[in-house]
Amino acid sequence: MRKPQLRRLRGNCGGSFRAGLAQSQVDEVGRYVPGYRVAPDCGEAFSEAKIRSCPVADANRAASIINAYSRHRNGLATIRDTFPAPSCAVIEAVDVLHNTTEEMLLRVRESAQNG
Amino acid sequence: MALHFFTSSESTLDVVVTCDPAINASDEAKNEYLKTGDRALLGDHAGATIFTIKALGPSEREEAEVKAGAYTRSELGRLLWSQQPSETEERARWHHALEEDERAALAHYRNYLDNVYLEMVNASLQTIDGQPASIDQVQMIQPDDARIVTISELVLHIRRISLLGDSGK
Repeated sequence: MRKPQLRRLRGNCGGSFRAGLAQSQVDEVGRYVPGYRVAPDCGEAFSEAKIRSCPVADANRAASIINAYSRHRNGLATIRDTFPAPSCAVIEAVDVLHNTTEEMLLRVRESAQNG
Repeated sequence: MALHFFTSSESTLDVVVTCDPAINASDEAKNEYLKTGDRALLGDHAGATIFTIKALGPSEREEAEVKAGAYTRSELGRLLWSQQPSETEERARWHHALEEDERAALAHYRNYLDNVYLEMVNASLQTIDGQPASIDQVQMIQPDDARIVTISELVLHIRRISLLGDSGK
């Protein structure tokens, strides 16, 4: 179901969160939602992060790097196939993606073991 | 959050420095420009010197660090540098209480960082106003405070387009 009002409060896909957004808080920088509210099953780093704009919009901006990492992980292509001359930022981003993916898999395994 | 970094180390960006007399923007606009690299924020800046820089790849960054003395830098200095207080007076008193050899180590590490910045500019700078350039041309900028601001701002732009940034981690 479409909720245009909620979309506006979330910053219209990329903008800052607006006043009235459920579970949002305000600090000296502006309005944010705690990471653990956005993704309750996230890792420690994201859990403590202050999310100030729609994380899906951010993920869309980084889609090319996420896709390249997924292809690399699945053995379909190397990172260098997509980024022949990667900047340091791409290498860092792949490092972050790899660490967070491994942590996510670990949480899934632990959750499965604990029933 | 927009992505301010480049994915390719072959991509280039034209930047200006905020101490350029051709730039008449407000301090807020200049600060925002340094954060984003969006020259439109500066309004009319016709006549400003254009520095063309490229993003650094991992090997170029490593090479810059090695040239600056990564293998001979003071590890004690690096440790002290990471421990120094952020508040000015507290930092001054903290520095005053250091032993003589600790001060020397800290100074050695600061010198290494300065050299890293110069090597980063040297690796990244492509042209100045369309003419091939290196750090040597930047070092000739007068007066001296304009030279220091130019190097600082070029490093800031290079870091922004080459690295992920704190918000991405």
